[in-house]
Amino acid sequence: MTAVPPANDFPDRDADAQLVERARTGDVAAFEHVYRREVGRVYALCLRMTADAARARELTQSVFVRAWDRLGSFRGDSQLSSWLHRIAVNEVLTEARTDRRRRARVVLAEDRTAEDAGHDDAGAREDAPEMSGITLPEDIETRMDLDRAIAALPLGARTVFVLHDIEGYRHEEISRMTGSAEGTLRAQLHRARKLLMEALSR
Amino acid sequence: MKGEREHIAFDTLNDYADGVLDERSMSIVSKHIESCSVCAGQYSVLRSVLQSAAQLPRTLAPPDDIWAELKESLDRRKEAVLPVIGTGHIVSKADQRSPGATQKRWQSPAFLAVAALILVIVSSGITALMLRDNNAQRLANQYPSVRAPGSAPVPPSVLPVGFTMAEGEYSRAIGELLQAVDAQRSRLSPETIRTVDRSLAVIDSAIAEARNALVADPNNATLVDLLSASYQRKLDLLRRTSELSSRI
Repeated sequence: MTAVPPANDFPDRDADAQLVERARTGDVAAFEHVYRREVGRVYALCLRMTADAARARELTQSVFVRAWDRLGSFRGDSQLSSWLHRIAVNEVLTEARTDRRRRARVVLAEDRTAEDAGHDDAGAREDAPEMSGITLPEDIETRMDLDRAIAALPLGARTVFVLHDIEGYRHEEISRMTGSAEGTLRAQLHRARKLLMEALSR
Repeated sequence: MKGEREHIAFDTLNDYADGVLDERSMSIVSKHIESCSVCAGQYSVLRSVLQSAAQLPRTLAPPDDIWAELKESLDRRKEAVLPVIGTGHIVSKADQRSPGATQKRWQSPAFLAVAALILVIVSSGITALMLRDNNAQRLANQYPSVRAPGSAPVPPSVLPVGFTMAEGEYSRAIGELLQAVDAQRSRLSPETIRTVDRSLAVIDSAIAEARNALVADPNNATLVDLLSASYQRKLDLLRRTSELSSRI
């Protein structure tokens, strides 16, 4: 398996605990420190899962507002970054469940390929995410192609691929988060990989 | 799983790549790939996709102005804070700049109980005054069954479009905080729990009244502000309660 587990960026729990404690008392500056450190990862997740820069931006804000409201429930059992990441995943999945009609309106008919039009996922799309601001790797073209191909995946397949193959969650964890059976998730993951292989082989 | 002489099914190839096949199946697939150029080619492309995905950057630079908007939102959420015990005045932003003092006050369950009561009295009093308008009151009486979001499903209504989204956000945040508080009830004294529950009930009542009035008069900006403030009070009370229980 080539997926990488969620990164542990600077896992200094004492420093995190101090920041959280300050933020709990209404110290926005302390919370800004947390935001600056974690926003890149939260935004990347939101952008890849939604394939929509505007929605990723809204969701990123929602994630941090929710984190602010829930600081009292953070006990330090997990790392702050992991805690925030879970909030982000839940936020994106919740929004996806409750707002599919809005997403469907955003997809322009001309953006759909004939193949994609045959998929039953309401959120299937061909529009690529906004690529500005990406930390560019060496093989930039390959990775930009991959990000575009991921963005073009049907919603269900994209969700599982991002969570499993990029973020490193296990099927049982994704099953708990999405409410889908592991067998269904596995099938969606395989489908996503197949579509990506085809897209990148063109 | 097919035999060695047939091509490997794509699902099996994925399971092989993920390392979730049993030892015997892993061995069969491995041997097959060594001798079958078709499956070897497919597996190579699959591996390439998985490796590329694993190497994608985990962080992407967000738009620069997210924090400015977020900070505004957080500052607004800080506006509705509980009054200082014994004085009844609302805690100012200047007071909030002394987090240590504020924190010590909040560490007392007795303070929370008294402060919550003062909050409820002040907020419900303001709400009652605002709703004393005859028209709003009359219309509010037409919807006696309305309950506040977070404690029961909201009734069918026609609220201003913009506020409907805001209400959804409030409801979601309140629902989560209610769950958090419920999970932490065992940490609070019975007296504090009773006080918090009473306070929530009064705030819910104020929300219901303001909401009814707004349904009847959706263009009334004052009612929008009033309802927003009531939701914010509930959110803040729950947040403070959650923080308190986490410190005990």
